[in-house]
Amino acid sequence: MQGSRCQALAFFRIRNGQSRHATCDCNRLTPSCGGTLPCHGRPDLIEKGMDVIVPEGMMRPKTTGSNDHKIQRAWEPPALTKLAIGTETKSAADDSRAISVRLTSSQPQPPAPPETKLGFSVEWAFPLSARVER
Amino acid sequence: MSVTIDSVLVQDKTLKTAVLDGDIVVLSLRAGSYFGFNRVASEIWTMLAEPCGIRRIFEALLQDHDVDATTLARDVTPFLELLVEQGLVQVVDLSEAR
Repeated sequence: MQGSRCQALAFFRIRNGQSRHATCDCNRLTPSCGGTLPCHGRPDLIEKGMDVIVPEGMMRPKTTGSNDHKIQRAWEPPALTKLAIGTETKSAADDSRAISVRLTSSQPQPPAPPETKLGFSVEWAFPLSARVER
Repeated sequence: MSVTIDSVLVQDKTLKTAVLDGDIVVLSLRAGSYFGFNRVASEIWTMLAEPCGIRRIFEALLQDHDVDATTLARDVTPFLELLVEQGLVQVVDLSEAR
């Protein structure tokens, strides 16, 4: 189990090539981290070690050329499309009127008055009561 | 009020706004019209949600789009003037704000 102790410190020693720095005394066993997990017991040691490994200046974000990789979008002139509400309403009214006209022309004609029907005319001229045999 | 590079503009907050397919549509009852914005116009409109200087609008558009400053100024300036003319944005009077 000795080889699995304090993996973060082991990483520091390997990268720095020295062992004169303070040792971690957390003695935490990390059987499954495989040497990649940081030391949970002494985070200050990790920070101290990282400062030696990577100078502070190198950890600062670069200010120059940061926009070099930014993708610029294609330019199109800004445009404004105006649609008057009144115009649209008037147009809609025209449309509904047109539909109304179409509906009127396609509607079936009302039935003819009864006087024009043959059966009614016969009945009118010769009432049923007159045709009943007595 | 004329629009200059130092002017500060802001949306008229009384307008109703909707987003359709990524583009913005604004309803202005005062103008009695709908206004449809294309992609770049929608970006500008979004910037104007808060008081925003025209200089800053230009800088943001220059940074985000493949366009030179001359073309940008030529295209955007009349658009901003149109927004003011139609009453969609207001020119913030900095002297009153102080």
